[in-house]
Amino acid sequence: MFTAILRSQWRESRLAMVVLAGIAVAVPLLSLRGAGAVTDPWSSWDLLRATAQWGAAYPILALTAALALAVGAWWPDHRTKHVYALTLPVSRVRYLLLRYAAGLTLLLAIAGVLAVSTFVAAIRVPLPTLLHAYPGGITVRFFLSGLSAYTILFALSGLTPRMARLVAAAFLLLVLASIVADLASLGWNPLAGVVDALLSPYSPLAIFRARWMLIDV
Amino acid sequence: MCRRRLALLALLAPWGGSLAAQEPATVLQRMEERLDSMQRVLDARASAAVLASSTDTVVAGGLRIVTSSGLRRMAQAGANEAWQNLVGQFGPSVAGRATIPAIQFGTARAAEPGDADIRQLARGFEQAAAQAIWRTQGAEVLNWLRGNVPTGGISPAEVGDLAAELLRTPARPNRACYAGETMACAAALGILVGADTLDAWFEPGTWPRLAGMVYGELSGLERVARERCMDLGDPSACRSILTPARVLPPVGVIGRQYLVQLALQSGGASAFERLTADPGATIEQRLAGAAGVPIDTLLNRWSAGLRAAPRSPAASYQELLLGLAWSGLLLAMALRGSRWR
Repeated sequence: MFTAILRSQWRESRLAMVVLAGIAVAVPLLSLRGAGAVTDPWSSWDLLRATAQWGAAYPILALTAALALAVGAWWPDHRTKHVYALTLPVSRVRYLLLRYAAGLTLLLAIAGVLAVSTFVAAIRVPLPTLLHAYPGGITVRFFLSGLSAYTILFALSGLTPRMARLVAAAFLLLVLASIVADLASLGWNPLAGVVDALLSPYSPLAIFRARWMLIDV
Repeated sequence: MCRRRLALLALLAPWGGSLAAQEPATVLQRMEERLDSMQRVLDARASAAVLASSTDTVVAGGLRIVTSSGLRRMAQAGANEAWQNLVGQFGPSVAGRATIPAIQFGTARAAEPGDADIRQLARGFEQAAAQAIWRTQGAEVLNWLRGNVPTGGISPAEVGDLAAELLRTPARPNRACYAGETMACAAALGILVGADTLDAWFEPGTWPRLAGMVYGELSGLERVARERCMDLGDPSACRSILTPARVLPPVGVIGRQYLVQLALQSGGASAFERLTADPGATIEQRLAGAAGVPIDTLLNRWSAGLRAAPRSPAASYQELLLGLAWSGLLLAMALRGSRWR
C-alpha cells in the first residue's frame, strides 16, 4: 500500500520534485564555482563570501520542498473529496501516516541529492588550509529543517474546514489586537510576541536559525 | 551633531595658523584634545538641561536617571541592576569616582509599559554609563579600540565570526595567529606592530585589492592614488591611500574588544583600574597589568577562544531532539482528528 501511495504522491509532486532536485544539485556547485587557486591570498576571502551569499538558498530550498510535499500529500484527496481514501480498508490514522511517510521519503530523496551535490562540490574545490567543508552537516540540517516545516504544513493542510476557519480567525484577531495595541500605545504587541516565539530557540522553526555555510572554519 | 562639530572646528580655527608649522599628527592630537575638553563641557551642559526639565530623578550609586513619576519604579529597578553590573565591571573605586552624566529615560507623561523588560533597560543604562567611564578614564585604550566602547559581552557567535574573519582576511599574521603564535596575534591586533603597519599586516600583492575597499570621503589626489594603486599596483600610491586609519585591519574592533573583555575578566574587580592606571604604559603593558598575567598568556587565551568557537553547520543534539519532538507532537495533532476534511 505504501508503494501505491508513494507513487500517487510522486505523480502529484514530480514536477516540483524534479525542479527542487535540480536546484539542490545546482546550489552547492554554483556557490563554489568562483573559488580561486589556493595560492591566491584572497582565496579564503572569496570562498567564504560566496559560501555566505549562497547560504540563504539552503533554508529556502528546505521550506519550498516542505511546502510542495505537504500540498502534494493532501491535494489528490482534497480534489476527489477523499473518495479514494474512504474506499481503502485502512483506518484514517494509518492512511495519514502512509501519506506522511510518502512525503518524507521524497524529502529524503531531495536531501540525498543535496548530499551528493555538496560532497562533489566540496571535493572539486581545493580548500585553503584551516578551512573545512561541511557537506554532511549542511545536509542533515537541511533534512531536519525540511522535516519540521513539512510536518507543520502537513498538519495545517489536514485541518478540517472548521478548524482552518478558527486558525484564520485567530490570526486575524491577532492582527487586529496588534493594531489596537499600537493605536492605544500599550507598548506591547501580540503579533510581535508571536513572531518572537516562532523565532525563539525552542520553536519548531529554530532549526532554520543557523549559519548555512558549506565551507567554514 | 555634525553641525556642532563644525562649530567647534570654527572655534578652533584661530589656533590653526600657529599650529600649521607643527607635525600634522601633533596638530591633530591637540585639536582632538581640545575638542574632547569642549565635548565634556557640552555634556555637562546637556546633563544640567536634562536635570532642569525633569519631573523625577532616580539615583543608584553614581547613576542619575531623569524620568517621569510614572516610570520611577521601573527606572529605579533598572538603575539598581545597572549600577551593580557597573561596579562588577569596573570595580567599586572606578565606578564610585566616575562622573556619569544624567541619563534621560522616557518623557514627562510616559507610563510604565505592560511588558517592561528591566534587564534590557538596565543594559541600556549600563552602556550609557560605561561609555562615559571609558571616555573619561580609559581614553588611551579607547583610541586603540577606535572609539568603540566595549559594552556588553562578546557572544560565542561573535567569537566564531572572529575566527572566520581571522582566516578570511589575507593578512600576514592571521593564519599563524589562528595556529597559536602569540606574536602573530599581537601583530594582527595592532599590538607590538612596527611603524610600517601596512607592510607588517599585508603583502604588497594584496594592496591593490585593499585599495579598492577604501571608501568614504577622499580628496582628488587620494582618488588618483587609489586608482593608480588598483590599476598599476604602484607601491607609493598604495601607501598613500592605505593609511592605518583606512586599511582593512587583520582583525576588526570586535577582536580587540574581545581581548579587553578577556583581560578584565581575568583581572577581577580592580582590572579596569589597572588598565587605566599608568598614563605612560603601552597597550600591551596595560592589558597584561589588567589581566594580571603576561601578555603572551592573554593572547594565547584569545586565540584558544577563537579555535574553540563552534562553527559547523551540523545540528546539535539539542536541535535534533527539539526538531524531532516538535515534529512528533505536530504529527500526533494532525492524526488526532477523526473526520475527513
